[in-house]
Amino acid sequence: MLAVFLIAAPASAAVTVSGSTTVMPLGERCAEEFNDAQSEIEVSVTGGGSGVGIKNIAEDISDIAMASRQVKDAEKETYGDNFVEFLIAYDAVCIAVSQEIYDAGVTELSQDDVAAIYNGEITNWEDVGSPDEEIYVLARLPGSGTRDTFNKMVMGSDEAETLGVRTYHGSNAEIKSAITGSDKAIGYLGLNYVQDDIGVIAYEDVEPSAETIEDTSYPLARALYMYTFGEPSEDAQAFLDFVMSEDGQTVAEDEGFVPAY
Amino acid sequence: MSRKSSDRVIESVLFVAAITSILITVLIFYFLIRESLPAFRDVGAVDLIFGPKWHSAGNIFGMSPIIAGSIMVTLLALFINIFVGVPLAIYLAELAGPRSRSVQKPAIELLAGVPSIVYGFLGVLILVAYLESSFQMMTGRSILAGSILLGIMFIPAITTICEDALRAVPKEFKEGSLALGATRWQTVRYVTLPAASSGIIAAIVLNIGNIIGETMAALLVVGNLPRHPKPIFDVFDPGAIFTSVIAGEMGEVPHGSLHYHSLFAVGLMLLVIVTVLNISADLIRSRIKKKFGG
Repeated sequence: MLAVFLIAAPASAAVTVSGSTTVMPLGERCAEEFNDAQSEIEVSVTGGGSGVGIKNIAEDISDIAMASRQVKDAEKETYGDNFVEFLIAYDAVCIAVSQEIYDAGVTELSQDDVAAIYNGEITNWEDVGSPDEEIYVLARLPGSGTRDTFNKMVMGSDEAETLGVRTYHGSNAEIKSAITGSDKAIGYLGLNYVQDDIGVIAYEDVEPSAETIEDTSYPLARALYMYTFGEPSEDAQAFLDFVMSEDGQTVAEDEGFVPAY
Repeated sequence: MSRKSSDRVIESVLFVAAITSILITVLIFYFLIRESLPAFRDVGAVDLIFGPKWHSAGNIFGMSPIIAGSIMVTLLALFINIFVGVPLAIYLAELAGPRSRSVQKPAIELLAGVPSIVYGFLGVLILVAYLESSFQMMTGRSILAGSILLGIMFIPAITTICEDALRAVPKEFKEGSLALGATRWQTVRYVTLPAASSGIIAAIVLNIGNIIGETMAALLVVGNLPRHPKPIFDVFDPGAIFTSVIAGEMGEVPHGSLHYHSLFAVGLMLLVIVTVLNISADLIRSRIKKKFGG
């Protein structure tokens, strides 16, 4: 048994990737195609979250980190500033409301409206042009890259307290099912989770789409990254090159992200 | 190998296994304390435990909403749990015939085997939607939803231990009571239940630990809002509990930050509570045992 592993192991070099669950679908699909295309390097991808990924590369547990945010100062202080950043794609934070609310006329909101709803200053849909109904405000739990992006760009600070929020959720999928399950909800989620059954509203008069993200007219776009700690090894570099290549960027597009190159 | 030396080998293997479990417990405590110390130092123990606000993105760490949420969820869940679990155990141990037992027992065991994420999934799909429509709630994700779900989840746990305790009551006790002309109910009420009370109380206390430590199902339905409800006992409001805060926030937290250490402090708090509960369950059991000689 042991002998099999010993013989099998050196046949291909292993590159391990871990981190953000937002980036993970992209990382996984890229790894699949990359592994199929050649046999020298075997890439394996696990989740854990941006923080876990960044810790893992700094402690040499994995080779590449996926992150839906940039490395924070606290992390640079803890581990030293040896992080090398690779931009791999763009994502957008979309603001969505329940279909009933969308149909009732709420198809766009200004930054002030959204901020007031999340601050708890506007608590009824009546105030933004919809029938009299309390607003059910959804948000992501602290630590989520999507939450940080939303709070920074809409609320003005990623430390915003968002007193209007009723429930916090652990993933994009949970937000989505809460919006579809309610008839008076508002929430935010990544572009790749948007489908027909929820009403994605225009924010500051711009609808999120590949075009508006690419030409930077949609304000809530964000970059997705991969990181290595110190310069990447040859094998890690090969995978990163693949992700940033035309093939990798096509995968990004398939997964609902916007290519960066 | 002689019989004696093989005996010795087996003994030492068993000893190592016993030591390992103690060692693991000690190590868990050690690491939790080590990782949460910076939070206690930077925030201050009193502020950290009794602070009125948990706003981790703004580096404000006060556990009181989480503690209050956990207590409310646990008490309400325990109420549901005892209300169904203990009578069920009495029925199974005292009244059920072999036919009814042969159906009920496996059914309860099956219930115990359902993974918690499945409970969570059903909770979100059915319970939350049901609460929403029947109580006109803005969202069914609430302390109440968490309590109902956890209360149901741990019915098998309480029933199994209670049933064992009831069955352990010597037959002579019951026969004596019946021979004196007591009815079946009187026998259960005045003989069997008091004699089994040490086991039942232990089951209840252990179940508090189960409920307070359950994560996955609760995370999906309590709403994860670390803020005191208004009024403070409003179970229709969303809340946050120890486990939901840790599970929800740990993944993306920058390691080594104050937030990271504070989450460990939440974990330490939970472990301390569960440990105290377990120890008191043991103490209660031994005290009642002395009293009733069961």
